[in-house]
Amino acid sequence: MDRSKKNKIVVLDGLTKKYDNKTVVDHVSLAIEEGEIFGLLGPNGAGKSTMMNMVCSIKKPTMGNIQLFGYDTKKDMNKVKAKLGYIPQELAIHGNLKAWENVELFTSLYGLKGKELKQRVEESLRFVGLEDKREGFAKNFSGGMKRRLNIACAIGHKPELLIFDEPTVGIDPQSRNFILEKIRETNKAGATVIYTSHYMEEIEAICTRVAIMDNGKIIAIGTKEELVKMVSDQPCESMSLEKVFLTLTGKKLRDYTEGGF
Amino acid sequence: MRGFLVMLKTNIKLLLRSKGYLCCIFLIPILAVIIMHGDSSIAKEGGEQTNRIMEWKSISDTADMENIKLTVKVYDYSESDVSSYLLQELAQTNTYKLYLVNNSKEPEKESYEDILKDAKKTMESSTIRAILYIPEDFLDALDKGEEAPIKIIKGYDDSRIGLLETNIEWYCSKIHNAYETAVKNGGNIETVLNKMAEEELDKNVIMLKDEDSVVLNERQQNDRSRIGYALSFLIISFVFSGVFIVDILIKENENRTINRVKLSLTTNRCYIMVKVCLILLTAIIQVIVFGVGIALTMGTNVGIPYSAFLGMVLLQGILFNFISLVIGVLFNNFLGTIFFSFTLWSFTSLLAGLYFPVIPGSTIERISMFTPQRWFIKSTEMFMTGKKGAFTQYTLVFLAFMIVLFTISMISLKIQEKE
Amino acid sequence: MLFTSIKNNLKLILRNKVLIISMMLAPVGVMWVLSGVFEDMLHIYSETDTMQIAYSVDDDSPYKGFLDQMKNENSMEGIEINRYQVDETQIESVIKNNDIAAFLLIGSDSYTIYEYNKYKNQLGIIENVITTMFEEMQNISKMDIEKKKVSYSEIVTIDVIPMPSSFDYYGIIELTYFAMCGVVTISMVVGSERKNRIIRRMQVARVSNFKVYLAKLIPCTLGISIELIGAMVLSHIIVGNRFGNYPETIGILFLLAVASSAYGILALHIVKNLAVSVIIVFSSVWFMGFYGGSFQNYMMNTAPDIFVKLSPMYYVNRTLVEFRTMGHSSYALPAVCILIGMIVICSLASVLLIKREMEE
Repeated sequence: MDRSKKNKIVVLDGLTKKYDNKTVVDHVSLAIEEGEIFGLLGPNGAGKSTMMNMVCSIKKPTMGNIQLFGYDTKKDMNKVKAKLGYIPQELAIHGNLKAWENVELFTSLYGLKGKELKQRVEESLRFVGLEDKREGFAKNFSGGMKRRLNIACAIGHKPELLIFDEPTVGIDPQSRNFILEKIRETNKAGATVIYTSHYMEEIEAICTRVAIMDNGKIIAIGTKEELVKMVSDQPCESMSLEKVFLTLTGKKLRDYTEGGF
Repeated sequence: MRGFLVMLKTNIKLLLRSKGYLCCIFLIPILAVIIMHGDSSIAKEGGEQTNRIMEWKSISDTADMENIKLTVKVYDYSESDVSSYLLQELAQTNTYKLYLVNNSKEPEKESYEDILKDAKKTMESSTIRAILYIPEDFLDALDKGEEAPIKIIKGYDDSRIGLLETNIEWYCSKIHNAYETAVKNGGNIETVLNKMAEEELDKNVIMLKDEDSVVLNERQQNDRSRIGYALSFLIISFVFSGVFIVDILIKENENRTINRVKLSLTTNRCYIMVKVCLILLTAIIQVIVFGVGIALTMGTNVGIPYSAFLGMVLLQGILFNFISLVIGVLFNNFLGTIFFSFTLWSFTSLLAGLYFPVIPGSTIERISMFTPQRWFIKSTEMFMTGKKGAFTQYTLVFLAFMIVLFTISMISLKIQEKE
Repeated sequence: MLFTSIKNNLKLILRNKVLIISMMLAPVGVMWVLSGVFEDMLHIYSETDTMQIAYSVDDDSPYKGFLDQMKNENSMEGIEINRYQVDETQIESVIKNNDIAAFLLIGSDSYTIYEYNKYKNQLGIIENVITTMFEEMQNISKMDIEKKKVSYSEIVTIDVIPMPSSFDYYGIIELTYFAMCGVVTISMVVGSERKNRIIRRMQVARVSNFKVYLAKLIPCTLGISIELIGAMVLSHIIVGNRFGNYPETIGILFLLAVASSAYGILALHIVKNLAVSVIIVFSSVWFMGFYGGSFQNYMMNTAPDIFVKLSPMYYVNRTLVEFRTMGHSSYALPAVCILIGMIVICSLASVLLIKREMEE
């Protein structure tokens, strides 16, 4: 292992993803250090989810390298799987399973068994505030409860790197606040977090460092102060991240379709 | 095999929470048991028949798919030895299937006019192409030289009716001749007819068959028909239970829980093994329900060894559950999978001859070899006729189908992964 | 609103090309299989091609001269007879190698007919001709046939409904069967409507329940009609079937398309789960078809009359087949009444269910 990258949990090098002739992620290089809450901000279709999918090895990059915990994911993905937790944008849960059954299923896939598995399931449910609803079927849950269960399914095996892909889409402020609070808690407990969203205030509230992505490229990266400095001489407190974002990405509407135009 | 048991347990829970799946594993196999009880009065082949004069029971008994012999309904109101002789001689030509109305079982003899009226319905709704009417005074009519005492009633222009008329004319002239000889020599007509028969050359008939052709008797045909119908019904349950199994997979793709599996420490092999185990468990439960149902209600005599029968049904169950799984993988859409599986079931069941025998050597028979059900029926026929190697042949065919299906699913998964 | 909804739903239906093409090809495939399987059953036997038979007779046999004469004169109509001087062990190979229907081996006091199972349709006639021939040879000299002055039998011909060929029969029947399964045509549209909660928009827009219903019924009927036309053309090309009384047949098929749509839409509203609705429709249509003559023909169907009479498809099938064979049918009126009845009942029930759905 390269010693210089010891505390760099995620290293992307020239990461590119093309669909036919369309470049969705374009030569992205960045590094995320241990203990960070790294925010990835971008308009719809910027390539955030595709990039996260490549980081998790759900999608294969067209070009470039990904290193997680110092391991090249092309060769050694199995070595980092246990350290990785992914909370997808979609509600990746079974509606016809009870809350605890969902968590048990996805936690067991990491080799946990018996008492330990049961304990982790309870911990996860408690962590997301669903311990009272453990016997409820997921399909009957509200949007916020489903989002929380979605998180619980990814944390049972205690990952060191958590990737949240727009985890607060379509939920009420209380649930959103709860989720953000829990992310902070997880981070304090030692986990590194990557958080993608297009809600500026969320990113501003929890992230230590932010990358702004547009048209598949990272157009700016740094702390909020550094980003503000890039676009204006005003003091950091007087300028919101949203202003920075709009200055960098422009005000043009971003209409994009998944299945082509 | 990390998470194998939990995945299997969870998948079973998901399936058992689906009413449709429960129907497939319990209700439909029970319905198949009921169908096995039914009287299989469906259309039959000509088959191997020693007695070509059969008693008329009902019109449904006469349906003949191959229509090789001219089927004739016979009213013999003469009930004399002479009329019996005539019918025996007609039967000996091997051209006719005679259904003789048993006068003692009828409340009263129908008049010729009633027979004419009844003839229309009989011929329109069966393969009976002629009705033979021998009047009560047949012998007197012969004696007096009356014109045409025997009536051949026809509705359709079947050219074999002309042959029937020629035969009747010939045998009646023999009878007439014998009658006159008997009168002249002071003997009786039966003696003369017997003497004439003794002087005739002995006739032997040997049927040469192509090696793979199987001829079943009526009882075996009935057993095969019942098995065919029941199997068809069972296959619906196999196909749809497979659809419910693949529905979990489709949903896992839709809601991306599959990504959680991919990201975990479990392997693709483990995931596939779970689905394969579900198929095996489902097929076993279905066969147990069906097998116990049959054994409890009608015993284990189904026309072939019971264990072999259930073994073959189990392999069909595994195959059709797996076929639905493959279709689901290809379509990745629940409704499309249902529609395609149902069409596949309808078409293959028809083609394989589950509802009626497929004529050997026909194009349809050749195409039907691509359906698993055809091999089931072929093996059943082999068991019935005591041919060896039926189960081995069936198992090899099953393996061949599984290899093809496995290859298709693997290729499609690879393509999907690339996309 | 109605016109736009119909237009959009029809567009959605027609965009599902795989389904449309499948619904055209599936009946053609089934009719091809069934018309082949039941060809003999619905066939009225007529003179077929020349049958080949062979014989072997010793030179000193009393029958030699007779058979040779028959061979030279081809005296048996439709039967070509050739002499092969082989022993008993070679007969099977002679038959199979030369593709001969039967082989006649004549001994001194017996004869043996070797029949080749491959030609089983012809063997009855061959055996009949040979049996009669030997009997005549044996008895003719002893019988005073000249004395016969009268016929012993008479053929009485009665009027029967003409028998359709299996191609015409199944060409008609399978169209009606698959038309009844037409619910799949609209199911995808209903599926997407449910998924995207379009019904809520309808509620807000205060669209009448009947209009909501018509917006499904009309495009579904048009979709099924398009599939029927495609299947009719394809089946005519592939199977070669024809219809009788085209205007009346088309009228009944159109009514059937409406009835099938109404029935399917009702099933989609009774059960919320789309897949279960489709399974219910398919299964019920299977039973209707089973008793209505879709698999075995209704003429020779052995099912109890009560079940047959309960199947709406029986009336439609019988009407269309009789149009083809007779040019008229006494079942036409009941068929039309049943279809209209189905449309009215299913439509009323569907509108009520839609009303309930809108009020929820």
